[in-house]
Amino acid sequence: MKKVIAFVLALTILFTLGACTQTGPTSSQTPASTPGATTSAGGDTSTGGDEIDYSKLKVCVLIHGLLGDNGYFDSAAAGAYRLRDELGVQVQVVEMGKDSAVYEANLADAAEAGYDLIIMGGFRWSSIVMETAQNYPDQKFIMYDNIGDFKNYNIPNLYAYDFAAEEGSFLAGVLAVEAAKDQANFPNAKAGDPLGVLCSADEPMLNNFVCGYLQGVAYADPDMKVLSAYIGNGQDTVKAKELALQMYSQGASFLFTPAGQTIMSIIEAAKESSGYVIGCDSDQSTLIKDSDPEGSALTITSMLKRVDNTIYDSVVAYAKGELEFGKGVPMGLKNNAVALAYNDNYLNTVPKEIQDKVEEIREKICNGEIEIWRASDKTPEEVTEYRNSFLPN
Amino acid sequence: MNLILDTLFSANTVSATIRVLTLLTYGSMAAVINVTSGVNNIGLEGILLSSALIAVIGSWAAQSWVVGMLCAVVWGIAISLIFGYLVMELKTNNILCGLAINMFASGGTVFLLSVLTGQKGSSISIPHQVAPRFTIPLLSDIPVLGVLFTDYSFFTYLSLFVILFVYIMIKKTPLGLKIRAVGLNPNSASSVGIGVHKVRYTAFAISGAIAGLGGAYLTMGYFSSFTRDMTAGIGFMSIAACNMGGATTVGAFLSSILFAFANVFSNVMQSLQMSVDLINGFPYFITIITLFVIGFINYQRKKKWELKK
Repeated sequence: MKKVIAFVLALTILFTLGACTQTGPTSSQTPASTPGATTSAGGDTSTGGDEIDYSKLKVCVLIHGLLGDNGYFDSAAAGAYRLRDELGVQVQVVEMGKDSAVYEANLADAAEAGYDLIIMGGFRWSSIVMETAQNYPDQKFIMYDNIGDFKNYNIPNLYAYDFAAEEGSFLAGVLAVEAAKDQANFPNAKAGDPLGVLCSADEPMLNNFVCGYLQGVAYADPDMKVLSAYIGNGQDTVKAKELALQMYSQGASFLFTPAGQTIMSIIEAAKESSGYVIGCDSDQSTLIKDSDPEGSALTITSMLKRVDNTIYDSVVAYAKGELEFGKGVPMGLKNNAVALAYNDNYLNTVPKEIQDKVEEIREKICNGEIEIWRASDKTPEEVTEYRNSFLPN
Repeated sequence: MNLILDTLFSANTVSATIRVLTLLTYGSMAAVINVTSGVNNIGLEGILLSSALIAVIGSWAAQSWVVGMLCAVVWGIAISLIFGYLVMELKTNNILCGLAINMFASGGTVFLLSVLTGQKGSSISIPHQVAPRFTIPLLSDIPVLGVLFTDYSFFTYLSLFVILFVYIMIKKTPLGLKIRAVGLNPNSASSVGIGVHKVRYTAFAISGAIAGLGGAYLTMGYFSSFTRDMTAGIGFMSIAACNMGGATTVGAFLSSILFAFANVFSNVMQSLQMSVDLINGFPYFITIITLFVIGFINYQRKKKWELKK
């Protein structure tokens, strides 16, 4: 009898671990074409006479979550595998899972294992990265998705960069307003309908998406109304779908969805209520093109966070000795770190005039002609007040 | 205020409540049978989650939702019987065993998903058949109440029969009587010749089948694909609904309605300029209040009973 218990327990542990151990290459990631993607595609390694030997470079990418999210984490892993496949960098991707208690230990282990570079995301866990960087001054670190706190930590060995999510979201807002006016190409939208934004949680980093979107909407049409809602977490698919259905039934025809793993359930809601979705983080429309053509068609485009490109670029810059450690850099539309996905669906359904307008505004943001404020620089009350000013009376 | 009332009593709110209610009904009916037989199974969450994936796989492999549903039911029964074996024959702690099932389901589904599809997030790459939705012809023409019979999944209508089945089985059949007897006092039950284990196995099998149906509804009615950890606490909410309703069929159903409505209410309120944090806590607040009221009533009753003695 004891053997049976032992067997069952062993099986449980095996399966639980199976979900969060290190993984091999995943080929499911579909890279979406972004404007000016050439900046990072080539890598430009062989321009000079002196070749850089990438095969000696050892890089560790720590994933502070579970792979297979078709978004943020998969994108980081894809960047790492591209380094390995295209340049021959020795890459180790460690999937740390959802248990945040092990992050610090894993990071310290990696720091002692003798990698040239350690890369980890700073979303929610920036203090762990910065503390470890402080404890291992000889080890180089890259932290993505957080600007870093270089005043309170002594970390000249850390390079941090942040995604200007508000810039990409601004474009999504402009696109939503323009598309909502265009009933010829988007027959399910009605004049005078509000727009909507459905976000996973009410916290500063995620409100950057929401407020960027709202600013874009206000820029394109100051009188436009926007409904907003928060799911509360990134897993609750039932709540996400109910909220989306609720917002569609209140008339919102376009939903912008910085909602993590639950975006697929929002697309299902869109199918049921004939609404439109602007996805987030990765290119959902291309991802479900074959398995779900109807949902794919309703997902006009996505606001991409190109973790893969930026990791690739910064490692290449490090190899060339160009990476400036000890500072935090914001990366936006200009660096191609965030972008709207110019996928087939976008190119075919969105009329040329709107595409041109979006492109024009993209250039204005890159030039600095349009300034966008960040929700993470404001107090929660200010953000709430701004959000509520868009609600219909 | 008018806007709130209008939205709250609209057809949309009613149908949203019914969709969530269907989920909770399957869960809480399974829990009712478990509790009545005397063993609480917190592995319900895991059974729902794993049978949701099994339903997808069955339906994808055979390209038929009926096959998917049957697979889910068989899987639910199997897991439930394993739980029964561990608890009754091997005398393991039922809470620990339930936890193990939940962990097994959470990790195992991701494992199975990645083996089958190469992805660990969702099953969108294996399109499967979902259960049809239909409208009941004559009843849907009734002016106000018509919305109750319009455009729901097959599983929603089936859940009504499940409630009826559980009610009749527990209250009116010899098997139900045995299950209740075993639940109240296994020793006395066995002294009058009832095979405690046999009755409990039967109860577990029925409860597992119902939970399997709930899982199938999740991926073949409510959603049309499987997402990792998609149950997000529905199993636990069902257990709470069951306990709040005093583990009776009608009570569990009524508290499921309350939970479903509280959920939908919080969604509706959120889009109407109410504070997000306050509103997201609403379903839990309702739970605490109701538990308090029920506890208070029971306490008063007990006091009276003791005075009489």
